[in-house]
Amino acid sequence: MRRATALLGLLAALAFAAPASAQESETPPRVAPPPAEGEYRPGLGIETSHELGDPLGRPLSGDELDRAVAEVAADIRCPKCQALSIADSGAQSAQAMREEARSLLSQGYTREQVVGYFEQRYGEFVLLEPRARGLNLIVWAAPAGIVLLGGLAVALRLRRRRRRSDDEALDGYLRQVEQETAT
Amino acid sequence: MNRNVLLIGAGLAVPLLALLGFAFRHDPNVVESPLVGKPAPSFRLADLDGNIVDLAELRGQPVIVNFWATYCVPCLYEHPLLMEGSRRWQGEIQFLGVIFQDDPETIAEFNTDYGSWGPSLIDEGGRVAIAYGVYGPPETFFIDRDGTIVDKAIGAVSPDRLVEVAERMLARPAAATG
Repeated sequence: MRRATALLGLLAALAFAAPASAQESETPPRVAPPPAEGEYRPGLGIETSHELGDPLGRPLSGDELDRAVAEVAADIRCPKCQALSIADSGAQSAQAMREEARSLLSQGYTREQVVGYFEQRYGEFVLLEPRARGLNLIVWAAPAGIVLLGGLAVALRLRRRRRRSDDEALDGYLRQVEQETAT
Repeated sequence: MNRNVLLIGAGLAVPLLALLGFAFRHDPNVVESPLVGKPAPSFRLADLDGNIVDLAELRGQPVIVNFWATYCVPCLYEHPLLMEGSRRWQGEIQFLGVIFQDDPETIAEFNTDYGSWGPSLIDEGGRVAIAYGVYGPPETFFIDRDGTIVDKAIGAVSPDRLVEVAERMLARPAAATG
């Protein structure tokens, strides 16, 4: 009841709101004031170590880093594209994810940690190659299963055809024997 | 012979139809977020005026984080709703906007023309969007007093969803921490 009242109130307020007029929010944000000149503030953004834990590998650089980034990028689906990896996509999201992978690998996070980080955030959908577990096993087992079933069907058919031709040959021979013994 | 073909055909068709039926019940554009029920990734971001917002400092108050952009039509569609929501729950729920791949100057112009429902935070390099697993704007994360993501809306959030989740967050007290 309370929810319905609140919803009605919100809808009524929206209906009477003037969308084009400038309406400054009166909500005072609980924010810190801009830094004074020379004041030190810790980095902005995300504290990756807080999200990912400690790096389990060694920091990579140069060609080794490039190769590792390319390997990780080839396994990760671009969230804004259709079936493209972030290695193959020019989308801004893909670029940001490649940069994130590069940053993490250069800090010593392993390929598994980096791929796991993206999976934790976006879900398994972000992996171009789904993990072979649960319902995904259908995807992995279906091709082999279809080939096996097809092979079985062909083998049964060939066997039946061979048996039929053997029976036909035997029938002819029996007819001949019957004719010869009748005379 | 015909009976066998029918049996094999049915054996293949029935599971396939069941799979299709299962799949058609889900919107392929909606990917469930693995972050719901988990702690919200903490971030520190500057707004358009250089003020710093630290999510950790907002602990104890429900927070609604909305990733948005001016080029995104559903973002414009939900703008009046978020304006009204931020007014309705002023002092109770903190509304935060994280700019998703848009120019801060364009955002500032938009806020001047249409009003602002909360700080517009600049996400350099899109790292916060990655940490939240954002596919595209608008996406709205509802974070309770304990800093746990309790719900996520993909696309323009509807009024009933906003009210339902906001009231759920307000009704739940923060868990005692030791």
